[in-house]
Amino acid sequence: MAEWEPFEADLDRITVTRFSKAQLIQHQVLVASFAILIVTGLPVLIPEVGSRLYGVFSFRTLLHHFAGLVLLLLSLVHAYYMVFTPEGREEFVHMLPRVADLRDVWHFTLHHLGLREAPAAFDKYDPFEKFEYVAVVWGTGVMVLTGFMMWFFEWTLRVFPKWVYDLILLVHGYEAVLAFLAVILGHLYHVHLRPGYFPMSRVWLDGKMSLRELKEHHPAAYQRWLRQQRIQRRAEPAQAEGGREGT
Amino acid sequence: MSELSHRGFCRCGGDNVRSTAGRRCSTIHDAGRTAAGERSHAALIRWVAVVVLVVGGTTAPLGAQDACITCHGNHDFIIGVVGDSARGEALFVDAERYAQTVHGGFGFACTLCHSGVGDYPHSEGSSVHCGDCHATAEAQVSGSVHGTPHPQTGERPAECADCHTEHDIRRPTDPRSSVYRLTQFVTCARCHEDVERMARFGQENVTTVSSYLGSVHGHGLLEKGLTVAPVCTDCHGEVTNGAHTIVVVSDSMSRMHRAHVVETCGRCHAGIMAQYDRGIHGELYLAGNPDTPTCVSCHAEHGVQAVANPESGVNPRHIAQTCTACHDTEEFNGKYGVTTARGRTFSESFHGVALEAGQVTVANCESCHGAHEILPSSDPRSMIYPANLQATCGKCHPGIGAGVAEGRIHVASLVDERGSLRWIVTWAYVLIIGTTVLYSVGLIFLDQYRHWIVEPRRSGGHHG
Repeated sequence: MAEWEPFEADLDRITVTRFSKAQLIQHQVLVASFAILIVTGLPVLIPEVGSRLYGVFSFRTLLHHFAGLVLLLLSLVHAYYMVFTPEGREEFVHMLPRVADLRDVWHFTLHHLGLREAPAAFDKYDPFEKFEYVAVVWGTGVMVLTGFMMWFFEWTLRVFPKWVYDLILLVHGYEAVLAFLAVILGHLYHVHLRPGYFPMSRVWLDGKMSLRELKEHHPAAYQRWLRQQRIQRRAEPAQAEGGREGT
Repeated sequence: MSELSHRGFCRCGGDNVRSTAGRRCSTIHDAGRTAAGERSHAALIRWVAVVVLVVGGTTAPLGAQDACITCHGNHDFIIGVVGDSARGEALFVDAERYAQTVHGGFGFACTLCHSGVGDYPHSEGSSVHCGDCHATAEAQVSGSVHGTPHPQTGERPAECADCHTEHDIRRPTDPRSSVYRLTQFVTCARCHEDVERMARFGQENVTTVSSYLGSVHGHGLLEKGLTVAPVCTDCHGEVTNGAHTIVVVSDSMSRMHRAHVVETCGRCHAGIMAQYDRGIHGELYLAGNPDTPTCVSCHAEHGVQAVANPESGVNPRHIAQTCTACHDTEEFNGKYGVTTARGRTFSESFHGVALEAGQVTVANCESCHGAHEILPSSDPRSMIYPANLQATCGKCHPGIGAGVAEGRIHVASLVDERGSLRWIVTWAYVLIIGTTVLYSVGLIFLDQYRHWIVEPRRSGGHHG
């Protein structure tokens, strides 16, 4: 059990740091480059749309390449962060899939269907978030690799035949569609649009999450953080609410 | 050998005469209209006549000329006598001006042409017969579209004076001539841009001259003042003659007839014609193929424009439409065993999309296939022969790898052969994307179900 238990009223007042500054910066750069890549890339995939980019086509290419370069640099920074910083290494462990995740998904499903009372005891990252992370890493790898092979196709064609290059084009296009749909339908809904968060969760801006949110959606992390005394007690009790510090 | 293929070989174009038997075409074709022998004969007669008339004209009493000019050279008088200003104008002859013309310069008396007028009062209905002297021209015009009377009304489309004027006749090289190269179009346009007049002869197209003036040829003429710019009569005469033998394009003797049009354009664009002849289009043309494009198929006729002009059918913006007019039709592709969907695969490619979006520097049909010397990919001389592809692509993409030759260039973007690698990748992604969508929608459903169904039930209808 935890050393101390916050009062119910304090759950909304106390915030915990879910994402560090380093993570937020990485995320913001990812958001920006991803958005630019989608906006400047998808139109070319649909000839009827791409051919209407009258007068801005070469600028589109320039912007797409620039954003691709940013994404490549971000990937390198992220790899360094995950391998060489203590914070990154800890996060890496949290991101590792476990057998318990499968059980949690089943639990989550039953709970949401009203067939099981207690919510699934997710840790800092729920199985869906872990899956998303893996998808982003995989997708970015595919996109950066194929993208740079397309950017420098003169070199690519020195190594590969044209038919392989055509497959690279194909993969780059479909992977883009996959990433776009995953982000729009999966990620944006999951973090911003679902009940309780709409219109937007602010966690992506300041990295802060209310204790209630942590307790309700990441109960395992909540318990662990209480044990590890990572949750700051409030210095002043909130008078108006008549709340008291728990011990 | 079929008639058409025979014409394909026979290019009766003056300097570029070629025929299967190495003979001049005029020895084979209808000698009555084109024979060089008759022309030299007529020329002899003409010069004898001129000498006689010049001598006779200068020695004839000047009084006869003066007598006509007394009335017809006095502008106010003749209008006063006739009482009709329009008719009066027509009867007025500017003596000074006439003296500067070809006929006036020779001192030809009025009665040389107006032989039937007699003394005053003049007999009605006297007419001028240019053919009395200009027999060859008369014969040529009679055989031309201009000299062919309307089958119902009997009206001749054009008389000598319609082009040459009545009294102001000058040599075609004289800038004041009505048929001088740089201004000839004005004379042609007088009828050919006249809706009512053209309609009388069943012609609806009255924009040929203005279309020509807006073309690169018209530009050369009007803007650059080039006498080498082609004028109406350069292209519309018969193959062995000039301005007097203008015939309709469907006439097999027309310079613009399919059998002669390449040769006609080649009179100026000789280098291009040589390229065309080496290409597959020219090869088929010379073999008498009725489908293969000639110059005008891609470059338009009167409105021909420079490639850089966006209005040109071969401008980078439009060339794909121009080529695919043939190369994307099922009938054509089946007939010649040409691969289908050239247009679609191009317009869906990066080049095609970028081009449509206005980036005209990207590759179009011509960039890879050439313009006039187009050859099939199986021909080692072809720009798209596999061994040449690296160099062809390298024109725009220096240092491109040899791998470009191993695979197709026109790649279908979506539909592909069942079981091919592209097909497998495509369907694998369709599956993955479909699963992702189902997964995402499933999560959304679970969330919404919990929120709207499960939670209200748990809190007894008071959801909060």
